[in-house]
Amino acid sequence: MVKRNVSSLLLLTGLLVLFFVACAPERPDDLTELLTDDLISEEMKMTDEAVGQMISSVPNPVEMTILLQKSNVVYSQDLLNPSGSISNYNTNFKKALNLGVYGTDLVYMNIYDRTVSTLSYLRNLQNLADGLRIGQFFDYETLNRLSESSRNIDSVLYITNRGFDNMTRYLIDQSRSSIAVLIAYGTWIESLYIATKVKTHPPNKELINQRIGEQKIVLDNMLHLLSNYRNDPFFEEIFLDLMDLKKEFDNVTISYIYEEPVMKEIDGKIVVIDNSRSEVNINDDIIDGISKQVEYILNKIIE
Amino acid sequence: MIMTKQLIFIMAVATLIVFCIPFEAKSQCGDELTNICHAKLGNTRFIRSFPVQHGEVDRGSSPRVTRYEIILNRGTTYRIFACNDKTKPGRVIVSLYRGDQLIATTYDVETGRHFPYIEYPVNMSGRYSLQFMFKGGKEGCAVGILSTVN
Repeated sequence: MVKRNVSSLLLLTGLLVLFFVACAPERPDDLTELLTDDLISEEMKMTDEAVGQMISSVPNPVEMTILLQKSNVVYSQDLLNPSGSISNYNTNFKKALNLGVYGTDLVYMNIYDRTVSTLSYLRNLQNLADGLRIGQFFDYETLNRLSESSRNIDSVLYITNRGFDNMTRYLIDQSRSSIAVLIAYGTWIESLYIATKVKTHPPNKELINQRIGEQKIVLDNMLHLLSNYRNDPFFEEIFLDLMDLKKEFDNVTISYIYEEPVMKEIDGKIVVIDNSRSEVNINDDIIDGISKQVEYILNKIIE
Repeated sequence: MIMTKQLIFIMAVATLIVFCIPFEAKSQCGDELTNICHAKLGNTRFIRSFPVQHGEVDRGSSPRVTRYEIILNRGTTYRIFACNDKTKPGRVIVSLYRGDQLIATTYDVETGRHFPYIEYPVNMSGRYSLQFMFKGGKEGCAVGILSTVN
């Protein structure tokens, strides 16, 4: 009788163990060698939550690329990082930066309906993400299938952007925010590079130059994010490069006129009537200075 | 005795099913909710998602707020969507701020109405923030989506 009770108890214990194993939240990978937040300098330290809040201010390349396309800027494959360069990216720093660069290139190609050319870029994104152990957020198979038709551009952009959002959140949750910041930095620099290098003509040239000037606001946030990791010599180098870019952006002035906004309900939604406005003061010489420094920075990233 | 053993086995398996599987299967939180919300975007282009998940706050405490910083560009019309996980009691309120100034919110305090999205044609480029909270500090899961009107 006792023996039977013991075996029942063992069976129950076994099932309970199975329950806890099956229901336990996924254990974080042992990723200690992959750029953890030990890099964060003590006096500068931002919490992961603060990094998560600020990193969402780094612009999505979709916005800049749509502006270029709407301004009738001609597509130029020469501006993109050649897909064959991936063999140069053997460190986690390089992988993270160029994951961002290739991500922007993929968005650029898709918005310009060059979906046929995207295969090698998709493969690069998957390889770099796998190398950083975040490949699970990149849906290569679906993207590859959807890229066969230009009718699916919105879906491709959605899945790509959702994947990058998820990667960022995961990295921050795993105390690997430095990787998330590098990806965001690579994304932004490539986007800025394309914007400063495309051939523009009036009147749209003015619109694009204004948008480039507005990146001064992003630059301040980017410097703030990068300063968090200046203990590391690599981060210190890119921080100083960005400080040189700041010198160029210091020539840009943005003026603001504040007025009360008005909220209106129109057809069941809230529409804001914004009575405030901003004006960017920038000229060709300033654009030229920004362009040269961005090119210098990008070349270091992609070499 | 064999009956007892079978009973224990059935109870243990039932426990496994009741406490484990439903939590994973029913909640819409995460990508599923983002996909549902994305399907509502209409003639706009997805820019970024902002998932928010809060537990219920104690009575008398202020509702928890999650904040994200964003940069909006002059000349672009944005839509900010709010979608709720309907398996949770909390209804999300999304508010757009420029500094400390409230620009718009999806909840009208006077009428108690929730609105599905905010449309904002931006005249002033700069830093804004999106703030998310659940009405009454209830437990909730939601996603906010920032998109641009095509």
